[in-house]
Amino acid sequence: MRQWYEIDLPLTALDQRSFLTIECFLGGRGDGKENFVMVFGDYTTVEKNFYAGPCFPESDADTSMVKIMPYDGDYRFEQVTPLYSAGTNSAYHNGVEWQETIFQVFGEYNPAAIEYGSS
Amino acid sequence: MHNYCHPAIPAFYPECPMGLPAVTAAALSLLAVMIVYTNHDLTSKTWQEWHCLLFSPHQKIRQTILLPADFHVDDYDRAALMIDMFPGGGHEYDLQVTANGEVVQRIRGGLNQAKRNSTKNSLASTRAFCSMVIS
Repeated sequence: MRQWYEIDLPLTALDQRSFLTIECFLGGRGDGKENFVMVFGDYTTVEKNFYAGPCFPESDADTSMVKIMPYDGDYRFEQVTPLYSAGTNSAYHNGVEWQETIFQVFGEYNPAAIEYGSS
Repeated sequence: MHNYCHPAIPAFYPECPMGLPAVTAAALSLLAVMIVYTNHDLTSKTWQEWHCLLFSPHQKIRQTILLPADFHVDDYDRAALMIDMFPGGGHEYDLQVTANGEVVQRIRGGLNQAKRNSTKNSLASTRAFCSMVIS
């Protein structure tokens, strides 16, 4: 099921730093058939300082009846939330090099919104 | 002989058991359907997103979050990462997440073993792929 997964973050990771670098990768036997993880991201607005994407469900009221019935794997509502961060920079490593613009983008394309690393 | 009202085909019955005219029953049924599908307006994806398939240990996704200038870690009791993911059904892989080079989570046996969403809807401090929630 596609959803938010929560990972506790030690506060020490935020101490004495002006940035936080998160990396996510697989170990073991990934094969792309059964053993894989699809990661979704970058829910931006034109203004960049707002998050517009699936909410963090707090209760059933934050989920969609119409999306549960046919079940498309994602029953979350959209939510718009002001962002507190000064900016983000996303990148993907394909095993050889880091790339910043390989991600397939869905929705209404807005080049300004996909400009990583802005502050 | 009783006339039963079936919500899906109210026109076949002249009157409902509660005495509602068939037209009223039909209107109520239509209203119920409209409520559900109006709900769809709230759920349609209007946001922009990317997705990336991780299927090999050689791949990585990295995001650097610039913390605001007035951020003081002492003001918060806890922090959590919220990562939007869809796992495959297999269990022969581990998912590892590091923060500033330190492993903060190693989920063995597939993502289906992970702790799922439970975070309160509080302050999302950055845009995804991972949203950091501090409270």
